[in-house]
Amino acid sequence: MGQINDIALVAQVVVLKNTRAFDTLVRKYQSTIRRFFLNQTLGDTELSDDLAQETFIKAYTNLASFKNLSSFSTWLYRIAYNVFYDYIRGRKETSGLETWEIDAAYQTEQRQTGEHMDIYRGLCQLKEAERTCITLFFMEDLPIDKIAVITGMPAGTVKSHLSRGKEKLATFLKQNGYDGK
Amino acid sequence: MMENDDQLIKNFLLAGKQEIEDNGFSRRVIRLLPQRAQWLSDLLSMACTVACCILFYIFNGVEVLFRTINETITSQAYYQASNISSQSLYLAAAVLILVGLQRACSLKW
Repeated sequence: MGQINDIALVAQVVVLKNTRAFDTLVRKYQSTIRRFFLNQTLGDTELSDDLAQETFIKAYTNLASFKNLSSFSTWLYRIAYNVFYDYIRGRKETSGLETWEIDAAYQTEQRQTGEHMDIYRGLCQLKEAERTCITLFFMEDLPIDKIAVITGMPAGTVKSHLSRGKEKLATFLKQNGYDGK
Repeated sequence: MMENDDQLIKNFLLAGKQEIEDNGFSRRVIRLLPQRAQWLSDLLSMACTVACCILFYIFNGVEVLFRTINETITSQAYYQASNISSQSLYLAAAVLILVGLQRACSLKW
């Protein structure tokens, strides 16, 4: 039902240039996409919002190319993933270490509440690809084949990232006395 | 053991999962959509066109344009008429027709 609704809204945007329909899509997915970026940037709210904004604008300009081969949310995640990796590539050319990595490593808070700090400390233990796979799989409950579509990686590579990420994160959690309760 | 780890990680991540309030985010996105920028650009182009038309009218552009074209043709005809052969005229016409056709074919209908 949700998927059909999404397609109807996409059609309205593409055919009628109905920005109100696009507004409905943004409101529906803003939390998911901003959370995706928050997890990738280890809680940098400002950067996450900028990247999420860029994602929705790119989605709007390329909406005609949405062929309904995957769900709208998967398509949107794919754009978000590309936006994030374009950003990383751009940053890595100019500087070595990201500010969010430094902040997470030294636990200096960046405008977010303390209760969410631990999750970013945990995610900081993972490489970027591992972090993407782990958060999409465990937090967003996406199956491996969808993660493969979003990241453009073969399913086997996604499984490898998941396995390595799980091992690192579980070790970190146990070392820090987290019992899952 | 592996399933325990899975559950441990799932619990940890789900505990940190947050629903983010919109707080004006959607409004900012809609405001930044390129269609609006295009609309503003069109408005600016329209304003410039209107300004140009007004200036053209104020400074009697039609008369100035007509006089300039007239003078150019007259002077060219006076100085070069003897040098123009019918062959070069045909050649120029052919080139103009060819360029015109090419332009017409490249238009998106």
